[in-house]
Amino acid sequence: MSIRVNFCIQLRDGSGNVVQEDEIQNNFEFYAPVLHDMHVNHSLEGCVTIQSPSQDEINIWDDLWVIVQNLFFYSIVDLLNQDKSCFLYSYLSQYAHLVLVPSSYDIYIFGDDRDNVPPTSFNKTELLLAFYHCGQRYLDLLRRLKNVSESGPTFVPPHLEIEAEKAQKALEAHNLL
Amino acid sequence: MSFVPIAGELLDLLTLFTDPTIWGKAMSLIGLVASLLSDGAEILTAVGIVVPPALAALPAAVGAEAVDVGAAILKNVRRLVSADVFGIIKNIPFDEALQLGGDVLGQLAKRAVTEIGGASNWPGSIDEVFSLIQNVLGSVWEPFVALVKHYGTAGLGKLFTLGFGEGGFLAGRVLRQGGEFNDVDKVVEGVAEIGDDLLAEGAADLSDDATKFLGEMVDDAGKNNTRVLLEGITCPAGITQVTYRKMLGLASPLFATAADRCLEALANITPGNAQDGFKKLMGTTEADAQEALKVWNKYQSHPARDHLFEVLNEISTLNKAEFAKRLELVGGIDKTDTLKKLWNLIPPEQPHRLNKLVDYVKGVPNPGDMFDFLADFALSLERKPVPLLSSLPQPSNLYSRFSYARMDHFLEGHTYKYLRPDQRLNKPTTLWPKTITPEEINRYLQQTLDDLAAKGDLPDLANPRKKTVVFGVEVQIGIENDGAGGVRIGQFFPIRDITGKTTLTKIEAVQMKAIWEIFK
Repeated sequence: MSIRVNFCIQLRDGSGNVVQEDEIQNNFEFYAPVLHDMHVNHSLEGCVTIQSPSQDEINIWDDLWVIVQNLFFYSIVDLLNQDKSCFLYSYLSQYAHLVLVPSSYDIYIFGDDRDNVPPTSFNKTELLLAFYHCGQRYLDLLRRLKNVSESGPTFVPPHLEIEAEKAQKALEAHNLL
Repeated sequence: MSFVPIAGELLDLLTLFTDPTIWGKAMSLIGLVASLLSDGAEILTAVGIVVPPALAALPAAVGAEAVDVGAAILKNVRRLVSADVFGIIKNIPFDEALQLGGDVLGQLAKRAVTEIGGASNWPGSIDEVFSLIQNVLGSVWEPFVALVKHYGTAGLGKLFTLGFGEGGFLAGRVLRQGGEFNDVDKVVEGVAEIGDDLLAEGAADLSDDATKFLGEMVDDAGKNNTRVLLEGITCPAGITQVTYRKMLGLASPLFATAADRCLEALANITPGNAQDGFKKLMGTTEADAQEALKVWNKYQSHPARDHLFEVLNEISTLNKAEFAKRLELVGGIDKTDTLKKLWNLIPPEQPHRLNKLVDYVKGVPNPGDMFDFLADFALSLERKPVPLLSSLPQPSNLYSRFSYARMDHFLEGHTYKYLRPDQRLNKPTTLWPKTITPEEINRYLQQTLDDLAAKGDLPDLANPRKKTVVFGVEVQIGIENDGAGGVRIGQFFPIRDITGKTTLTKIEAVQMKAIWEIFK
């Protein structure tokens, strides 16, 4: 797959830095306590990056759970099953919108945050599949964080699991999974 | 072949043995040799003196006559000086008297030639030469005496080391003017070095005013800084031996065409308090001197110029040029105080932390206005630690739907008092009015909940974001899972003012990154 969708998390250590999901994966024991505290007390904010060899990079900065639920899982269902003419993503942490417009084979993306979201198009099936897998990796992270302490019985919010399942079924229905 | 009558030779021979002072004997020896040779440089070489450049540059016959007549005059040193100075001079050993005397003769010859407009006008009779040398004697002898008095008998060794070439002569001229210096030894040493190394041929041409200012510069700004300034100035006719034009772009009067005009020009543009500031501004680098001079000339008639240089005085030497450069990019001299306030926020050795702000500002249509806006924003941030959530107010009615509101997050993301720029680097940020309190934000939030509840439009996890207008302000509210099975209010911020009664501030991500460079 030529399209890559990855997430990173904005740290709260005063550095202004973010940590990439690969880095978290490789050094989970180091980051787990920090991320656990952030998830409980502040929510996990960060960025989702969409990369393709032939396209400009897109960066979507927001609360990650909203990106995963709305931009990833909702859009898969809407743009595959319901054949909607467009999908509107509303940012939670800023007043801005992202628009996904499907054509026969591609999805055209543009939005208010033009510095981070240059108008770009991606192969539709590749993009939606990449959305799904990135969303699943985020849920996997939450599942691992749940084991860090006794607190947080709903570390993986049920509504996210439900929406992930809907997205999975939509992809399977179109033989994409 | 001597130019002086035979009586002079006999007199020299006589006084060589009978003069009560060593200085007189030395001058007699020079005069005697001058009676035998017709080249000024050869005369001095014959008695073992290093030929001063001032003399070597003259035609042989002119130099010889000047040396011959000069030696005859200087021989009678007792008549030329007061008793106290004579008391010092008579202690000068023979070899040193020869060398110093030779140097003085070289300066005398040079002065005499200058006086008559060139060697081609040299007088035809020995009487006229005598009269000419007498005329210029004071201009050379007095600086020499000033040096002698400065060093005294105890310091004669230093005088011998210094000599009376271009540097010593210039130092003597500075001393003769009787200025009050913080460190006169430093001035003498510095001026002499500059005279020898930089001014060379032009030293004798400096006016008294220019010479005086040179001494003040060395005293106030130091030898090295003064050298930097002098080396940086383009004076084609010769303040320096520098041939490259470092100061391209500078306006008059620094393009004066003669050495004394250059220094006088410098003296004239540094009146009052600014003079001190200007001197200090020269710093230790050429870049400092250049930037300072550019700014100085650009704002020649600006009423705030002196103030600018007062501010520059407060900035560490190495960063003055950095400050001046940035000032020009953010709107010029009117922004002096504002830029200084921002400057005070960064460590002294890290002026580059203003680069992002400057780079951004200089790229917008109205850099000055944008600079004022962002500076006001940055300087208004109190960056206080966010209070504990438990100490902050909460909406009294959460409609049994929300566990709590993350009021701490609302404060750190959208208020001047508690803003954390590091959390807002990648998205636009709207801020409540500067003076808003947590209680007032809570009032906005409660009203938002009430209005949405009345419309049956409270957010849920499926539709976590809503916007509405409360008290004339459009706001956005967002909810999230609270990690404990419930739902909390995780976002609440203003979008825009509808009525024009509430002052909100919007900072773009690129602007926040520029500000963050200052604070991080």
